[in-house]
Amino acid sequence: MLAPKSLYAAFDTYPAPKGAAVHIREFAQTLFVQTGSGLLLVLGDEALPSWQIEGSMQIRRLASNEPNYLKRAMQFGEFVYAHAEMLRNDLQIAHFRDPWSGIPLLDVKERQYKTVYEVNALPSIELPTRYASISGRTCDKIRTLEQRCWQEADRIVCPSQVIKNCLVELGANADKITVIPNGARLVDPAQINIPADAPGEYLIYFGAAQNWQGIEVLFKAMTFLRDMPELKLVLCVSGSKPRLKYLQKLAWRLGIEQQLIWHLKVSQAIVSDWLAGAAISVAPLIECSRNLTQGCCPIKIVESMAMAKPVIASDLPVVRELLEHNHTGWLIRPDRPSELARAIRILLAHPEERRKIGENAQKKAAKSFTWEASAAALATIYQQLIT
Amino acid sequence: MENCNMKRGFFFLRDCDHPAHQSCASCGKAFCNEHLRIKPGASAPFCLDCLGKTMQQTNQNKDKKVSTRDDYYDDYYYDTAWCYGYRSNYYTSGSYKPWYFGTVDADGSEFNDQDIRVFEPSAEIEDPDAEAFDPDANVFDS
Amino acid sequence: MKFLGAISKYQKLSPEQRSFIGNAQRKFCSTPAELLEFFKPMAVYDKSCDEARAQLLNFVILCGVLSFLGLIAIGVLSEDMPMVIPIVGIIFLMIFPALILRWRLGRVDIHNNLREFVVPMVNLIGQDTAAEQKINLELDLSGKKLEGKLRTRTKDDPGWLAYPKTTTSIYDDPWFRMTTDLVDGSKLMLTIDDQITTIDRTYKSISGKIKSKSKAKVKHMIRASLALKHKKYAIASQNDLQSFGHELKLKDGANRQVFCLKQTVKTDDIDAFVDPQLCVALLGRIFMNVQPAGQKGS
Repeated sequence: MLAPKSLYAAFDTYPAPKGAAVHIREFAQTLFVQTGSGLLLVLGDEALPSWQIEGSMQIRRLASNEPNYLKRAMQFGEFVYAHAEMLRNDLQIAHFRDPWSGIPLLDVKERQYKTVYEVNALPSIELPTRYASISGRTCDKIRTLEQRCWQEADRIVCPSQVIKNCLVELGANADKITVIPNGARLVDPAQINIPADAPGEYLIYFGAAQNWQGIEVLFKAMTFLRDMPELKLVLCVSGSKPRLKYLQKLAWRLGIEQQLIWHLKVSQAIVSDWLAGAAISVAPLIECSRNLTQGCCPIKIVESMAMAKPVIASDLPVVRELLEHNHTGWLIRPDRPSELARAIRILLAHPEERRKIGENAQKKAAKSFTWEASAAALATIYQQLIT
Repeated sequence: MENCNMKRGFFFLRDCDHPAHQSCASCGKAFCNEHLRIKPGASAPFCLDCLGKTMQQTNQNKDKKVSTRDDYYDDYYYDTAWCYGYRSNYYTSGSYKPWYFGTVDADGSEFNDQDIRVFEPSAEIEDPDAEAFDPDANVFDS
Repeated sequence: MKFLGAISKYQKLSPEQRSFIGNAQRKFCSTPAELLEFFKPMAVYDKSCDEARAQLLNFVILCGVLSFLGLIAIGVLSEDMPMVIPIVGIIFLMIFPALILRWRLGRVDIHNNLREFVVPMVNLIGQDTAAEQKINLELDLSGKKLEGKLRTRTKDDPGWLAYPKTTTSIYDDPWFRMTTDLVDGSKLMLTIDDQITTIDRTYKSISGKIKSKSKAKVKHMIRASLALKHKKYAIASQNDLQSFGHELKLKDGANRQVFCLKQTVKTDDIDAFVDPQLCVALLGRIFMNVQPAGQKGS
C-alpha cells in the first residue's frame, strides 16, 4: 500500500457516540479526499481493531490500558511521533486536534508536511474542571504546549468565534485562524422510525456528560415538572463510568428517576431515532470558563436544528452564534433550573410555536451549518497549504 | 502497518510500539528503523536481535583479546546491537528470565511525577465510587 | 605503526573529551544516548592507544635484542664490514623515540574500565530507562594509587641495615556511582569502590643482595541497589528472600522496597577492569526474586 499523503491525529476514541467523533469523521474525510489518501491516528479499545483500512483511509488506534490521563496522552504522543517520523517525507498535511498529538507532529525534524491545528477545546482550561488537584504549574506546562501548537501550526481552525477570540487574546495570530462551525446532515424526522418504546412526550438531552454541559441544572428543572408525570427526559449520554454513576445517584436523590430514560453510550443512529421523536432538545450549558472564555460549538444544538427540533439552550455567546431567541431556538439564563422548567412548560404548551422554531432552525442549519459547508471551507485551507 | 516486533529492555521486556518499517533479512519479522541495522556489505537490514546474536557468536569464536577486534566490531560493541546480543546470551546461558510488561509508559516529557499524579482516575472530580478506567471518557467534546 | 592511528583518533576527540582523559574525574547527568555519544570516541581511542603502546613495547624489545646481537656482530665483523656499526647504532637509537612515544601515549591513556565496564553498563542500563531519562554518573578513572586516595600507610622497619623492611599502603578508590530511574519506576543505584593494598618489601637474598618486591591486591566492592515500587512489584518478605542469605539488605519504605546486594571480587592486577557481568548478575538476582504486583502467589 502506498504511503498516506495526510495524517489526522486526535487523542480521542473513534468511533464513539458523541459529537467529537462525528467531527473527527467529517474533517478527516475532507482531508483525505483532498490529498488522495490518509492515516487517522486515534485512541481505541479492545473492541476496536488496531489497524483498519477503509478505501484510501487507514485508521490506526492506540489501545492503551493506562489509567492515568496524562500518561495516556504521552503514550499517544509517542504513537503519533513514530508514525509522523516514518512518513515525514510522504505527508503533505498533518491535522491535529489537541496538543498531545500536535507537539509530536511539530517535533519531527526535517518534516515536509504543513500542519493544521483544530482547536475545539484547550486542555489547560478543560482539565482543571475534571481534575481538581491540578496545580497552576501543571496548567502552565500544558498551556506552553498549546502555545507552541498555535504558534508553530501553519493554520488554525476552530468551530466558534468565542474560541477564536480566546486564542487571539492568548496571543495567537488572528490571520491564521479560520472559524468553521460544526455541521450536521439535514434530516426529515418524518423519515425516521421513532423507537417503539418511546414515551408519548419527551425531552431529550444527548451528548457527553461533563460537568459543564449542565445536566445537573436540567435534573433540578425536572423537579419543577413533577406535576407532569407523563413527561419524560431521555438521556443519550456518554461519559466516564464514575460520572454517569454520579448522575444516576443524583437523579435518585432528587426523586426524578421515574422521569428519566437512560441510554448510555448508544450509537449515533439510535440517538437520531430518539431525537426524531422528541418534543424539545435541551442544551443547558453552564456559565463557566470552559463555555465562556474558551468557547465551544455544541454539535447537539446543530444536530437538533438540522432535524427541525426546537432547542432550549443557555444564553451564552457560544450559543448565540447558533441560535436566536424565539426564532431559531429558545434561550434561557444559564444555571437557572426554574427558568429552564418554565421554558419547557411554555414550549410544550405551544406546539405550533415549537414547530415554527424547529422549521426556522432547520432553515438556518441548511444555510449555515452543514458538513458540506464546513468541508468546503476546510478544503480551501488544505488547497492553500498544498499549493 | 504492523507494529515493530522487537521487545525493548534488558531486565524486563516491553513492546516497541513504533510502526514496523522493514523486515529482517534473517528472521523475516517486521521492525521499526530503530531496531534494524545494515551490516557492511549487506543490502538488506538485520534486526538487532539477529545481528546481536551473530556478533556474539563471532566474538566467542575469536580470541577475546582486545587486539582481535576490528573497526566494525568496535561500532557494534558500543552500539545497542551489542546489548541485544548480550541479553540473548545472558538469557540462554544463565537462569535469568526477564519480566514482560507489555506496553510500559514511557515518560519522556517535561511533566514530572507531581504533574502526573493529579491525573489518576481516583483524582477525578465527583468520583466517589470510581471503579475502573474508562477509555471512552474524553473531555474534548465540542 | 598503530601509534599513528591512536594519535589521529586522539586528535579527533573534542576538547571536552581530551579534558576528561586528562583528569579522568567527572559527574554526568545525561541520557544514555548522550553518555554513549561522549564515551564512544574515547573508548575507541583507548583501545587504539593500548594497541599502539603494546606494539611500541614489542618494538623496543626487538630493537634491544637486535642491538645486543649487533654488538656481538661488531666484535666479529667490524673489520670486514664497517657498515655494521652505524646500522647497530641506528637500531639502538630507535629505542629512545619509541620509549618516549610510548610514555607520551601512556600520559593520555585512560583506565580500561571506561571501555570495558562503563560503556557496556550505560548501554545495558539504558535499555531499561525511558529515552529521555537522565543517568547520574560519577566517574573517577584517575590513578588508583594517587596520594589523595591513600587511607593508611604502615612501615615495618626493623632498623638501619636490618631486613626485611615492609611498607603497606591502603588506598580507597570509589570510582563508579550510577543512579537512575528505570522505566518500570524502580530506582537503581550501582556503586563500585576499589580498595588497593600495596606491599613493598625490601629484603636480603640468600646470596646477600638487597632486593625489592612490590605486590598489589585489589578488592572491587560492588554494590547494587534497587528501590522497587510497591505499585509495580509485590512486597517481598524475608521468607521469600531466604536464598540471598546475609548478603541482602532489605529496607521497606512507604512507596518502595529497597534491595541492596553486595559482592567483593579480589584480583592482583591493579589495571584489571571490572566485568559488567558482575553487576548484571547482582541486579538480575534481585529481579529474579521479586514478582510484579498482582502475580504473587499465582
